[in-house]
Amino acid sequence: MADPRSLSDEELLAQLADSLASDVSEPTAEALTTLRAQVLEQGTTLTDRERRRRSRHLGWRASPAWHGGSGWIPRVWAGALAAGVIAAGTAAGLAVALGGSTAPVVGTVGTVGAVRSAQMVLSADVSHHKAQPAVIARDIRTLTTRLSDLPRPQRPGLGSGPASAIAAACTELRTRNAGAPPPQRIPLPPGCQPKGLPPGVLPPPRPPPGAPPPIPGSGQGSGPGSGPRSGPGQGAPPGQPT
Amino acid sequence: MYLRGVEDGNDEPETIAAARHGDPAAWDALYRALYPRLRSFLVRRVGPGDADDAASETMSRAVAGIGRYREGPAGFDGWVFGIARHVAADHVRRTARRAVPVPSGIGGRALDEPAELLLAGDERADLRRAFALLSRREQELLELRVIAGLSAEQTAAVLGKRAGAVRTAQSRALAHLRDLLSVNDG
Repeated sequence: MADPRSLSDEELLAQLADSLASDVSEPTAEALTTLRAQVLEQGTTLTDRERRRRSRHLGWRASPAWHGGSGWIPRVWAGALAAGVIAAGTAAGLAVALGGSTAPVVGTVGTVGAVRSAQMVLSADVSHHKAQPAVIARDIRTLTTRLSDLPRPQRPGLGSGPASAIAAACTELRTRNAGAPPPQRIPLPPGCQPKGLPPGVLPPPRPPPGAPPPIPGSGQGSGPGSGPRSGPGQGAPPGQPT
Repeated sequence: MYLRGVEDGNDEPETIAAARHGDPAAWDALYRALYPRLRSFLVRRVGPGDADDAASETMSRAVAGIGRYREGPAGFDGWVFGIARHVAADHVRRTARRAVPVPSGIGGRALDEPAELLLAGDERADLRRAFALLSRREQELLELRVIAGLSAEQTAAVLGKRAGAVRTAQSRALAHLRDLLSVNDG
């Protein structure tokens, strides 16, 4: 290598390029997959409802890979992104929840959106019960722990945060447990235990959608009054026309 | 050769037009072509540990913002590297409490590469050490030129300066670099 001090500007620039460039020449497959997915995401007109429906069909089969991420969105979610079955924000939510990197999608969602997305997918996947209960329990424990560590959303008006995400996850879990035989019930993570209940004691499940409201056990009733709305009118004085 | 971006034809209008229309293959090609330079640039801005994420975030923002991209002196490459500067700045703000990411002295890739330590006495390492002593502005200008592979006009557009001013600043930075090499050698 020639002495840099004797080089022309152009030659010195070239030598600098040689000295400063790093060796990596290819983006990772995950990075490319995520980018393709985001491109597709940009072009799609799927509604949130449709995404949720499709995300349910994703199932949980790849959940063991959830913990395999190394600073990236775990492979399964990148694949799901690529397949167009979940939104970029969803993957970001999961990445945030699990302590991974949101870099591929962080430009499109903030913390609030990420948490809401995590909540959405968690609910969908838990209720879809395609995974082994132990796997779900482990992942929920991880998720609730990570969500607990997240700061509450700063932006007003969006209304969702870690607490509600955890609550939704716990609700889903309780609902699922209520309909499952004991061997298939998932132990509730500590964050799900309501105050006043000892560990292992589950609160009553939520009523299914559309069920009538609960009957109050006590209280004073109230209702419309009855009686004539108006009485007889007053007649005109004698001798006067009405 | 340092003007890799120009030579590789990243600014091909057809590819960019396809990218505008959401063609994943076009974005794939653009990412592959940009990646070595983008990552090298970001390694120096945010450190080797976060460069991959920053590169990915840069491309993510590019995908999200392609509708706002307009042909101009910066070209597509310059536009992307402009985004990368913002990504790096955001990263530095977020991690302000941490140590400066780029290791001093030998330019951001030595601490995790033991072999580099063995070569620390050669000219290449001397050059990196001297480069690290330049001001941040000088470093960034030269990085945009030699790592990002941007022309003086593109660099000027990215930095919001005139091309003549960039050329002048570049000459001064290179002269400063030579001075530093002489001092180190002495």
